[in-house]
Amino acid sequence: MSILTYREAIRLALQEEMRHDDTVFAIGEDLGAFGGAMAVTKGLFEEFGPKRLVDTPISESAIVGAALGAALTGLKPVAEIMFIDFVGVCMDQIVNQIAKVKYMLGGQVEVPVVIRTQGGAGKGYAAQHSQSLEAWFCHVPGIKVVMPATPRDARGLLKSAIRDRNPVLFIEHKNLYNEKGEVPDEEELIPIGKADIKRSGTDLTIIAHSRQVLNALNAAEILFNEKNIQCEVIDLRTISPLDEETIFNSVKKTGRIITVEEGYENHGIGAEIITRLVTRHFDYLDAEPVRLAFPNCPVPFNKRLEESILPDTNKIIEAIKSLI
Amino acid sequence: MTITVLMPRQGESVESCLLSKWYKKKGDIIKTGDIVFTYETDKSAFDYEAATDGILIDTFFEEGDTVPVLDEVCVIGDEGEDYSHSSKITRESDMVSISDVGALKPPMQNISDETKNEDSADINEKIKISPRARALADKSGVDYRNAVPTGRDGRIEEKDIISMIEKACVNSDTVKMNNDYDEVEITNIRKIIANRMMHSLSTSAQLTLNTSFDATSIMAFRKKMKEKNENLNFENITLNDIMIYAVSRTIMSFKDLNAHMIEDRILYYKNANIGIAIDTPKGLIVPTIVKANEKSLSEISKEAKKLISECQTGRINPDTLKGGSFTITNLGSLGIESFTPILNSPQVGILGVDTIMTRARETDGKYEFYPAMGLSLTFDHRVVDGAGAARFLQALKNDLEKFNG
Repeated sequence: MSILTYREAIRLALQEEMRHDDTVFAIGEDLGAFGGAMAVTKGLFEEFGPKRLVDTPISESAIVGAALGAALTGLKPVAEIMFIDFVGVCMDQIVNQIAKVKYMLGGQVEVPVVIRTQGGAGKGYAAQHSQSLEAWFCHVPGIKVVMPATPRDARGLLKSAIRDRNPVLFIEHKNLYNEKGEVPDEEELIPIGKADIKRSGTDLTIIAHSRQVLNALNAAEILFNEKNIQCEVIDLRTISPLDEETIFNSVKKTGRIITVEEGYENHGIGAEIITRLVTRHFDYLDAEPVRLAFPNCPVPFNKRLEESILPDTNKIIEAIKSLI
Repeated sequence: MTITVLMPRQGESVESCLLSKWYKKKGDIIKTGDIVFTYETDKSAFDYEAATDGILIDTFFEEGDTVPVLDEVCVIGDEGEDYSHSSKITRESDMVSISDVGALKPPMQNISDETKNEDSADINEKIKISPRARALADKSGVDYRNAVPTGRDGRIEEKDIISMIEKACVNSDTVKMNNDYDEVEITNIRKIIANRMMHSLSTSAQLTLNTSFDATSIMAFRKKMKEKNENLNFENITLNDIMIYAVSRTIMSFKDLNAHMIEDRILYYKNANIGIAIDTPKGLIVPTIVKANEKSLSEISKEAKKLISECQTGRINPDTLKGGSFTITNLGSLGIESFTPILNSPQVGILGVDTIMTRARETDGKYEFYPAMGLSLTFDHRVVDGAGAARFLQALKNDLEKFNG
């Protein structure tokens, strides 16, 4: 085991996969010589050079479109969109092309594209650079959505994403890059579509993903120490497809569920999870399901306003206290 | 919308509650969270907090009434609203259906076309239960309407059904062994004793110190009095009388132990009102010798004998059972060497008097036997620290060892 930051773990995955398979290449803005806006690709340019780390103009459509074309010719592109907020510019490439081409061509082609991007609030970056838009892509068939919370999961899932024969949207969190954690020294592939029980408990199930997993774990620890409430914390890791089995089994045990996410509450991930649970396993529930998410308003620039509405450890604790 | 407030069910065995106080009267405006009334079980009192805004349209019981659980207590709603569907007549027919295990729904004839509106639906939705709890109840065959809801907003949750099932198991176990015992409903005095003991243990920080003293002096004194008694007309002085007398004198220097603790106040008594625990055929009774500190040994002896006799024959005046500031309980005559008396709450101290045992001690290199009488002092550590209580015992021991009337 080594202690790596989230950023280093992603870099390690890229490096390992680029060494493992020379059809793998990265494409995006400033990820070559500069090392990436979030410094994720720093150092890779020196090892792999400009053909494997392709700098592009500021055109998200071009980045994703080029990645699609490259994939159709047999390469394995890892495209980077600097902020998920910019994804609107290349929405057609993702939703109508990348997610649909295999289907439109009767399965004759594969589109092994990974789109790396980052989202999330908490840095005072205001309404156009702080969103969590994962729900948009979960709504579309043909693309997987992966959101790791820990360095180990980030490395293992990115490697699986690169090896996947289908398009994967890999969403990082801008506030996690410096978070440290253990990463195995040997190669590890973490399967896409499998949630992880980050903490076992019997009283209540907290479903979270990305940075909210850390808040959920903090909340669970505090609730255990203060109230002896034993929360089970499930890290979704993959948002689409959802690991229903892990979620349902947990609620079967606890009878209570709270979903936590940074995305907008309306039509969000929590809504989907709770709907699936209530429609299929109504009898598991011992209390009304609760979702904690970002309210239906733009992310404020003012840091205090942002903090006041962004889900955090305290808000999770309060929501759980009201439920038990 | 009108809300009919039902007498909450507080515990499995509680079938009715005493409505002890109305905080609102008919016509008062009520806000959510307001305390509308207080009700009591035989164990404790609870406040009913309004779950809705409105006006107290009607009340069905007076203060002091005993109300069956789940019976309608009052109606909260908007002014002038018709609440006839929740009248007593309807309620009573509902009660019939609730007692009928087979019927899950209230009788349909109560819902005429006119009243088939949202309100009547609310009345039918009296029992809130989580899907999980309902599924478990159905699977286990228990009637969830008898569950004690502990969830938010009075909702029955899984754990409430589990506790019902567990209780049902216990009950069926005891039924199987029915021939092995006689089942007798406990007497009132037993109930009172039980409640007072539990209350004492659960509301104070009590512990017991044990010591013994050389009873040579008091035994000699008693012997002397007994001899005199045969010639003159003196009362027969018992060791217990001497104990009451000695405590009533010693305790005057230890005001912390001659006290009551009531919530966050302490009442220090100016006189030693000594309660004496008396074993009677019906149970423990504790009459009081008021101002024992001002009474002579012979007066104490006479009064104690009178009280004991009245207790034994059940002719005791209830007023003499009140007002004690400290209690003495004697198990010495039954051979008990030491014990942990339970405080006669809210008193701060109780002295247990133990039996006399022959002990050996060393004085100036010589060994001798002496009669040692045990003392077991239970005190409330909230009021007195261990050293303070020990000093009282030490003083009492000194006084008793030097006793000469």
